Amino acid sequence: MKNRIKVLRAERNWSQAELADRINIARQSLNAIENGKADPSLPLGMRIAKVFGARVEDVFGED
Amino acid sequence: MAYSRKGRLIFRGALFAVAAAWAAFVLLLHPSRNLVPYVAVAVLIVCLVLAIRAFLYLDEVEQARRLRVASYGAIFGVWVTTSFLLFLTIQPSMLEGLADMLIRHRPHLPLEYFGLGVMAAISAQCLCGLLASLVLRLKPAA
Repeated sequence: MKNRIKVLRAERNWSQAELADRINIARQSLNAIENGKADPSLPLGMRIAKVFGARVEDVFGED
Repeated sequence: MAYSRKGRLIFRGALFAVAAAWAAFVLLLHPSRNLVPYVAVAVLIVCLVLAIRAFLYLDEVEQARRLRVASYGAIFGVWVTTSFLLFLTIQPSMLEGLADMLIRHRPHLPLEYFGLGVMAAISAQCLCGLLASLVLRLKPAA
């Protein structure tokens, strides 16, 4: 699944480790999600969207 | 149980420590063979509990990956074990040779052959799990 995590993270100047700490997952897992190698569950997707202050559909999706 | 890097490291470290202690025990106390099976069962249970606790401290992405690796490893392990055991039944001299190499007394008891079979199965599962882990780690993203 495509996502905008990398863009949103860059906008906030957060490192992968920093974001991983905020959403309480391993940095490697965040890297896998960011690169589309793994799909997060809905609760985790919502958690990611929440730390960015965005909606889930703004973070994840084809566009 | 929530993801915790510290918790995962503690339980994984404990797992490796128990496994290392078990290897040392077998090497040092191998002659007292009456004790080995009982300690083996205890060590296996402790290792299982530690592995489950370490697994529960992983995050959901890692848990899914580990389960995928374990599934592939288990299937491959069953195939390897079955092939190995079938080969030993076709070549009984190989079975005797293997038993002589690991247990240095004769005659061998049926329980010892059973123990060797279980050991072969568990070893194959562990090795195939590690192999699956390596292969899936190297596999490029779909």
